[in-house]
Amino acid sequence: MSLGQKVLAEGPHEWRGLQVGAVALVFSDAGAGLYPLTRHRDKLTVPFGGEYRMIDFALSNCLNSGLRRIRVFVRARSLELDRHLQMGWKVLSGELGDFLEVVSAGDDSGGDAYGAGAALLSCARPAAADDAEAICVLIGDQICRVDYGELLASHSKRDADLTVACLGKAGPRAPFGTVEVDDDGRLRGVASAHPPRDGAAGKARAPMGAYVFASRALERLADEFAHRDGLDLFKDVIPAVARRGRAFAWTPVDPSGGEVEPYWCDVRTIDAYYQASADLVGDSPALDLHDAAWPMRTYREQRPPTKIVSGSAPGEAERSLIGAGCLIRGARVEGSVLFPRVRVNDGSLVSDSVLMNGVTIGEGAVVRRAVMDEGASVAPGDTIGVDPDRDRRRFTVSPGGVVVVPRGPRAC
Amino acid sequence: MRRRILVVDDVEPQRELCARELRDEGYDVDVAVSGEEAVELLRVAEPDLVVLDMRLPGMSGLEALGRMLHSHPGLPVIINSAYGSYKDSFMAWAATAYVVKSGDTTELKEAVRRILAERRTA
Repeated sequence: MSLGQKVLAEGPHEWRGLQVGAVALVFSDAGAGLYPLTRHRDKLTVPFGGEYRMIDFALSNCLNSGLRRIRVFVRARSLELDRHLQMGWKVLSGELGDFLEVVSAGDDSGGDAYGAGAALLSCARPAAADDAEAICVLIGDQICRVDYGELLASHSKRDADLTVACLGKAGPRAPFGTVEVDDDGRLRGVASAHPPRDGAAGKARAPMGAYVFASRALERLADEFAHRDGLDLFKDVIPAVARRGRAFAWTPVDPSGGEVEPYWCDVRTIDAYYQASADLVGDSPALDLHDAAWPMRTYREQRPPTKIVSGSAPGEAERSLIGAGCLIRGARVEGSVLFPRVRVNDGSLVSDSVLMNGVTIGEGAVVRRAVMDEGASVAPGDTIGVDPDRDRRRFTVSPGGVVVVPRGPRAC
Repeated sequence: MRRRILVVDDVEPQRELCARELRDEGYDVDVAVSGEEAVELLRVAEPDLVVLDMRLPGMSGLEALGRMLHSHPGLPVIINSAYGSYKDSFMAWAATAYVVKSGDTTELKEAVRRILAERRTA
């Protein structure tokens, strides 16, 4: 049962006031690492997981955690993002004190790539007006399942100024640098984009891109940094709060109190996007989209069911996520993620690939280790992912060898 | 000595995929687009193993399998077909292995490696 569901089921609780009052701020960078998927869209609206947009994971985690006051900061306004939030996320009602707002994070002159440092401090006073004791900062390009309610509970119990959500141990995955902690979980050092110091590896933790700040700490900092330009969340704000206040690391724990490693993938590159997609199609994926206890919600158009029929060969789909409205005729699909309205025509093979909305695979074509953007198509008898030199002449190929076919003219 | 494999498939992308992956494994690969061409090639190419599709224009894969084994008894043949149903065919039992056609050629390459290794030690 999620913390959000516990709140509804159990009623008043020691952390309920903080959770209901907290404001979540979701940030995103320009998404250069996901080019060409971000050529025509905001990073937060990059399709993921057969039905979803990337932002759906941060928002679903918020909702499941009982966080219902959310601001999404973007580098540039996006019609696609506005439309997605309008159509899919109207469940947050202003009449109940909830909100979901899209706010400009300002230009990208200086500061961190998300514009989060400056935006966060600019929010300190309005957040106080929201009567929020805590502000939860979420980097929105993480595909993960994290109970932010538990994070807020830990923050509240420790009367912290800053709580940093961390993976159990710092490993190669440390896109937000590392933090050093003592035996009580108190932060002893913050390093941006640096590996743990010698001898400190055992107590180093890798932040997951989720931070809780006490509003009081941000208000103090806002006065101090009032005339500073280009504030950086990671180099300026977090170290300053950690230095002067009570700062802790928090690691997800299971009901028995043991540390757990939640599913978490930092999706900043095509290879990371591809791996996160591949992680979904196994028998027991670490991030289970079918887990009713932690529903991931999105906006879904009305579409007919998917149909799989025989042609010159049987139509087959194995180890795959298939969105609604697809047609697989006499073709084999394996280890792949198909978004809605994909057509896989007779005699073709699709293997270990992501096919976004409206993709068409021509008869007899072979597609392997590819990400095909919305509306893209493969001609009958053509191949993708078979001849690397030919792929490089026609498409973007990631360092990991994933072929990205750009958006087609029939993109939806 | 490099081992020689004959790939028989009438669908060009799938034939190319199979041939390319086997060449990357270090084999010499010949290709045929029909059962007739495969039977003809067998006379001159002397492959160590054949990868054979079942749905072929003209002479079917099963008929080609029979003719190849008649002229070259003991020749290893891997049936590589999208149809699992051929597994039930009495003739298909004469093949050395049966691999369901896939974009992921790992199973096919493992079957080729295993069969050629067994043949070397036999």
